[in-house]
Amino acid sequence: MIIKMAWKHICSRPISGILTVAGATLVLTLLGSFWALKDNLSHVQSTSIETPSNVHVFIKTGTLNAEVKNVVAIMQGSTLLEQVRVVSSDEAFKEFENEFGETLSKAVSENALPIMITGNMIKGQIKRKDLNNLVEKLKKHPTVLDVDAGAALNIGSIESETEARVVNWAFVLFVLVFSIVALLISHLIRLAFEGNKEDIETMKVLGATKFWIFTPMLLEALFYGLVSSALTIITLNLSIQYILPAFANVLLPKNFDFFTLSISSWFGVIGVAIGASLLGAVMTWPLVRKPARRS
Amino acid sequence: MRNYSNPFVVEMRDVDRDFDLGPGQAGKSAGPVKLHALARVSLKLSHGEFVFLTGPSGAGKSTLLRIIMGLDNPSSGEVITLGKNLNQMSETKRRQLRQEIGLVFQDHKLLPTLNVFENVELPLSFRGLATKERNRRVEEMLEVVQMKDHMFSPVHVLSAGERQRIAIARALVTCPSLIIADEPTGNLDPKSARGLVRLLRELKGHGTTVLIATHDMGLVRDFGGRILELVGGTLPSQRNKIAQHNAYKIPRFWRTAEKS
Repeated sequence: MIIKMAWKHICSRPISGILTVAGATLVLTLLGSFWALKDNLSHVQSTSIETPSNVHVFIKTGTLNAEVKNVVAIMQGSTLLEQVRVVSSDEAFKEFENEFGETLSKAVSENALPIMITGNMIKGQIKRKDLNNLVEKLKKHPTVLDVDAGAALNIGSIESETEARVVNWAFVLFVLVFSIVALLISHLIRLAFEGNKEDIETMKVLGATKFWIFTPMLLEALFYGLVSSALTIITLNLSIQYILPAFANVLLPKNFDFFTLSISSWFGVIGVAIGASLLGAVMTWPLVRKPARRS
Repeated sequence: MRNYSNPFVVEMRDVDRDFDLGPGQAGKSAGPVKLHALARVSLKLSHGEFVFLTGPSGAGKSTLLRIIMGLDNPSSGEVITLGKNLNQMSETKRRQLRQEIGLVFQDHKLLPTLNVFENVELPLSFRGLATKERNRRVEEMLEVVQMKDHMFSPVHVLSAGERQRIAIARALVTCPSLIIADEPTGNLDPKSARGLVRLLRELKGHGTTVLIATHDMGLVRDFGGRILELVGGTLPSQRNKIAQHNAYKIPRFWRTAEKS
């Protein structure tokens, strides 16, 4: 019976309902897009084609075996890497040859090559800050000549200042979007409440408790929250695929590999939609509490 | 369960109800003009009483009923309904109290979203009765008011008389100790009206107090019972100058016109 009443509320203002859902979807997409920029700044996608998924460490030729093992231990101790191994001279030489051609084999002998240790980055998104810390730690080791973590490190220098700015704006936007969605849904529920005032007053007169008045409103808000979330998933995907990459270069470094939103941010956007909708319902509590007045 | 610990179902002591009508002709400094809807009304309704509340329009019948139901507060005086003092009662408690009262209105007040069955079931749902018990009671109640065939019909397809029978079923389905009916026969033909009042009068034998507000003096004469006549917001025993003051008068310009 409560579901039937909630459905009546929803159907009582179809145009307002559609406009509210559209408005909520729009602001949620905006928030999600901004969060995508933030995610791209702070994370590196280790599984994408453009970003190398390995970390290569080059150690001075002739370093003692114990020292090499020490560097391997540092890499194995990191949660960001898996399958850490010392690349054999043969293998390293072939890789260099493949990359730089025959000239290299003529210029240097196999014995003159640095020792190379390689580790695969864990699959998924890695925090750029954590990767930077690992690289810095390895570079400080006296035997290490160089560390190559690919494009992931290229924006390391600009990360802190830009990211701080983006994170601040993302928070401001989060508060704004949460408030807007809550107000939109609350306003819509108030409209539906006014539309069904006669019935609600009758229910109050007959002795309906606050549960009976409030639950249909809560279900109504949940409905709008879920519909807005579903639409936001579609529009945000489109935004990330077609719109954001074009605008990302304005904020992010050039040739930046733009990847999708992190799983936690997806849940964040859906959480904002549902949370704000439920808050919108709670904001109508004074109407529920209002005593019945029957003429 | 009926509570007979209190000898009265409704008890009102010196109840006044004034409505502010805003500033009068004398302006704001003279204070707001007040309408005395009820003036020092005292009454007691016992268990199983069948009472007609009559009086002209504007006499305060609906105000009196609203105060008994806890939908309005008296300006002064004390109201005790079903043994509970309404003066000190929160809105939540008032709603719970109304679950114990059967209410019938002139315009039925059925919920158009719900079908006949669900409308009658509503007060039982508010009280949290089990589904099986709810179904049993609603079916039996609809049989009593001869509406079982329309059990799942939407209410908007029913006639005014049929809707009123559904409203009666909704009021009786909780076995209330008190039934308050505000002009229940206003939209009904004489035959249906008499049938309805007859049904309500039968409840008297089951210890239920029935209070019916009506204009229909024919019904009052035919069915008897206790009669409370409200005039100008007062009951007969308490009638005073306020009542006379509220009576209609021929305007002064008529008298002037007669002379010229």
